[in-house]
Amino acid sequence: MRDSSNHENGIWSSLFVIVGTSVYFFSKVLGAMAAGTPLPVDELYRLGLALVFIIVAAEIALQVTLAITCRKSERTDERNALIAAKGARNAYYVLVTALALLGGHAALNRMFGRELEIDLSTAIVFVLLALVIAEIIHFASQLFYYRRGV
Amino acid sequence: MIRNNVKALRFAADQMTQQTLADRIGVTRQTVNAIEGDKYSPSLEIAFRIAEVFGVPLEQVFTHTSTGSE
Repeated sequence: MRDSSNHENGIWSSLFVIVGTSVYFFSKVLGAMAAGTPLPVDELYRLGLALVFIIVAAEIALQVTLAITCRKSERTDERNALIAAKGARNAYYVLVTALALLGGHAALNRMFGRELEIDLSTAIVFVLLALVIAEIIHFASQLFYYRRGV
Repeated sequence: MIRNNVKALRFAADQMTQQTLADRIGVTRQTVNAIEGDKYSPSLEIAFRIAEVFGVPLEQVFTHTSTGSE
């Protein structure tokens, strides 16, 4: 049986929550876009808001369950803090790269006097996708460092 | 590369458990496990605490080997 700490178990549960909810969200959104009928912006906001509530509720429930089931409280030591910092750094790189791509695309189009090829709803979906991928990288990085060493 | 003798010293110290060592130096048991498995190099403070627990100099706990790329 793996020797995983409560921190690791908490990260696994967060990863499952974010992957599960984002698969649901993006299957709806990207499915609509692929069908040529992208969701309107207000519908995106509603769906996104519902997604945030679901994630927050699921996270609270899972963390409370973990806190109740673990036999004793676990301290946060320097290794936990280092791994969390490295995970956050990796997520930051992903997010910045995605936003730079979006901004660069818009800037280049404007520079050459062309219309923006992507509309607002597509840009919102792209940013949300970047956020979700960054979060997944955040959690996956930490799990990698816990298993392989840092 | 930094290697350590924490596991050997622990067993020599009356078969001290990882949890006991972790409690005495202020880290989690998993961190002690990671140190022993060369998956984590602790900070100087933790390294000194480990040496203090076993009552030996720091150099007896941790050794540095050159990778030969200097």
